[in-house]
Amino acid sequence: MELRPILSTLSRHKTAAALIVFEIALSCAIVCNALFLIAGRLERIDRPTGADEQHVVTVQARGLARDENANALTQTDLAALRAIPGVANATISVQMPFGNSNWNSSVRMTAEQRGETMSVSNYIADEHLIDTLGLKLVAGRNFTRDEVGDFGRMRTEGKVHFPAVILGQATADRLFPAGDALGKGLYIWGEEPSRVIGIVERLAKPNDFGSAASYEESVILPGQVPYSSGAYLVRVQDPSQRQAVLEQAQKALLAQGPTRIVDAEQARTLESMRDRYYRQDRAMAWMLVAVIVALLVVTALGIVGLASFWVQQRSRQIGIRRALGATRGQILRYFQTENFLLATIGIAIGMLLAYALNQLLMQRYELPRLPLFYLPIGAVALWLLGQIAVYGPARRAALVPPAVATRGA
Amino acid sequence: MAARYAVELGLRGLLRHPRTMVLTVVLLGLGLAAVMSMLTLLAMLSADPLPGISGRLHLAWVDSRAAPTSASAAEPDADAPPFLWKLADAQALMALQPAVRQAALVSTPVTVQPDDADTSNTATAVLALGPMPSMFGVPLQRGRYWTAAEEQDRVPVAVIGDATARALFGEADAVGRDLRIGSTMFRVIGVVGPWAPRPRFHFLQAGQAVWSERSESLFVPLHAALDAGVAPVATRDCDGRGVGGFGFDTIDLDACRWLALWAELPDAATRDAYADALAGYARSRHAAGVFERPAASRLDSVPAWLAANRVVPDTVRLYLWLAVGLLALCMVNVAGLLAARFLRRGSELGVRRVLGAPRRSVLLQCLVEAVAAGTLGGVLAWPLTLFGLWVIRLQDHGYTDLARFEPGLFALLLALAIGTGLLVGLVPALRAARIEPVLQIKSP
Repeated sequence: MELRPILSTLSRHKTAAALIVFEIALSCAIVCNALFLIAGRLERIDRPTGADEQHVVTVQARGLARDENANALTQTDLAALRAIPGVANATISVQMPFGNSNWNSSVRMTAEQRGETMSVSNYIADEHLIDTLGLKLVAGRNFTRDEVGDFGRMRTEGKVHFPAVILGQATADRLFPAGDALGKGLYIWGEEPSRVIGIVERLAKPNDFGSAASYEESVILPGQVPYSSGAYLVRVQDPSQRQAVLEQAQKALLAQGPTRIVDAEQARTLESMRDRYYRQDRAMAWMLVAVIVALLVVTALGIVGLASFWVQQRSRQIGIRRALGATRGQILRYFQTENFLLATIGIAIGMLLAYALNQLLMQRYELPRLPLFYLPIGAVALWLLGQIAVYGPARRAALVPPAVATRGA
Repeated sequence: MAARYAVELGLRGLLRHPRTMVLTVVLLGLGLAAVMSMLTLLAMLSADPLPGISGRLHLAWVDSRAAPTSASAAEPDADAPPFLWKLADAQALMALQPAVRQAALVSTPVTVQPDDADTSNTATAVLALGPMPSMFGVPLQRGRYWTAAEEQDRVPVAVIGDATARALFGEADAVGRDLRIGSTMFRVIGVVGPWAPRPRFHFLQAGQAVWSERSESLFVPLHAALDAGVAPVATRDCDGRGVGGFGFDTIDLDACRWLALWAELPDAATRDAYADALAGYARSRHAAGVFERPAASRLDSVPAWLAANRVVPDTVRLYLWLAVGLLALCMVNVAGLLAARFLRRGSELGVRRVLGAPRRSVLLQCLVEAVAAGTLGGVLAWPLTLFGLWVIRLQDHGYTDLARFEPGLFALLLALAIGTGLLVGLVPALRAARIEPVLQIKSP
């Protein structure tokens, strides 16, 4: 198809052509960035915690009376939980992924150091935590029974110390870039060092306040947590048994005493907690999808509106071409090519705009740089959109009878 | 007379080619509604948390932190300013400025038990130095606030929220009853109505829901609470090598910063005087070698404090930008549609020009049509905005229930719509007014 006549016609309709180009450029810029924002949200939603979430449920118990032997009660609770059919293991931890509480403490490398090297999230739990959550131990070993202290007593006595610590890989990498963490001492709680005895592949913080890079900076400290300051974590053998196990677990805990409170709302699967936790991100992603659809619809409507005006205006010219022997297909292709040309110019400008917009967002909202592959996605989408939008008016143009050439407009 | 004719023509032009007109109005309505929904939400989120009160309140801060070490190069306070005080420093500054009403406070969960029962209840409490409830406008229903003398003498008294009072004591009047907090019985001296500034600007804690509807329902003088063995569990910032971990139930009161200090400064003069006293305090402590870092202090108004903490979520601003983008796109579209409408009527406009109508009149006719379209778009945007706000409220972000339409904003919406119509119609109208009459008559 000859481009020259198209170009010369366009140059005589600068306003309309410029408006279409501008429209496409603007929507290209916004669509690329919105797609990128959606991808960012989806990536967050899919981020692994390191736990085998399909197999884990949690339940909490509280007591009304102040009991002195909370630790003994806790051990009885755990035995009852492990006795439930379908339960593989159980433990209690001060915090869990997607939980409400996040305990952080500072880490120092030497006893004399003032200030902290980094701040880590503390999972205080016994030797069953790794198995219950399904964490992957990549170096060293698990806690032994005698390393696990009575955390409740430590707190009442005001002397909290843990002889051993297991690091998440991200924490180990930050504290010991040389990769020689095992066997080293760290100062996390109190004046005595905690020895690094193991490293797990991944263990996410309960929540992700702070930068994305710090999401996995956590440690496990060996302590028997009294039931009143933690939540039970239960590993089921088969994910389909989770609801049944949760119901049985609540019954088992209630049976431990008349003053027990077991909050049904705190009996949940880890999976449902993940769902709830990322609700906002999902809502944001859907909102962005709605914005993109609205943008594309608006752009398409604009193209339809302008193109039909222009077909109507040129119906005489089209009629003359038809009278001189142009086929319907040629007329149709003429308008489609014209739209393709306009879209291409628009997309080229739109890519520059997209990049500029991303630069602005990077500065204001600390977003990452727009990866280049979003640009062709946006370009293809807008080319398609343009072709679809112009099809109707172009078909109407093709239907103009040659006789129009002889008539007055 | 001629102007009236042009206006009439413009309005009549509105009814021609109804399809493109409907499209124009819908597009304008859509773009305006998106922007209005987001502006409404943003306006709600930026509203004064305690109208009439927070204008006088100022948050004071001095840098009492230990000297930085090489290991702590990445300071945790990069994005939000530290605001916490050590107990001794807060007391010293408050004593230095006896004429100014001040309150140092910490927000913490505590367990409370009524005098007769063995049930217990967890309440979030404000432990405060100074007349915190009256300074912050906590609405007193019955009884009274605590007095300076009671605070001085460390008398265990408490002011409790109405809902908590009912949960603990039933329908009986709670004033005069006793309440166990920690190891001590506290006398209830006042019952207050719901008090929940949103955002919770008075004690912003890292990682806490700033927009939560729940707030403190128990107010206790700080020293009485400390005497009863209550250890504040809240954001804190500790020096030295002691245990300073978050959520730990003991607190090294001297080595940690854990109080927010607010001063009531009604005018610029008192504000300046207080800022000077604050800076002077920081300098003297630094000179005495107690504050290791160079003397630094700041006095933030409530809006400045909220801005520094980026209390309005970034996502809302992002949405607003997207909505503005959508509106811009709609405007380009509408400009295109209007241009098509006007140019299509080229010969007609040409006839008018030949018959002696000045350019001005043609311009007016086109602008009237554009503005009328804008107005219709604004009217349509109203229900669309209500719909948008409803969608926003459906989502649970902690603050989204604040998204409500305000009649005042409707005026802004209409003005915006008319302005948009004018802006968008101007280029096509100018284009139409430039039409050469002779050419239009000549062409068939």
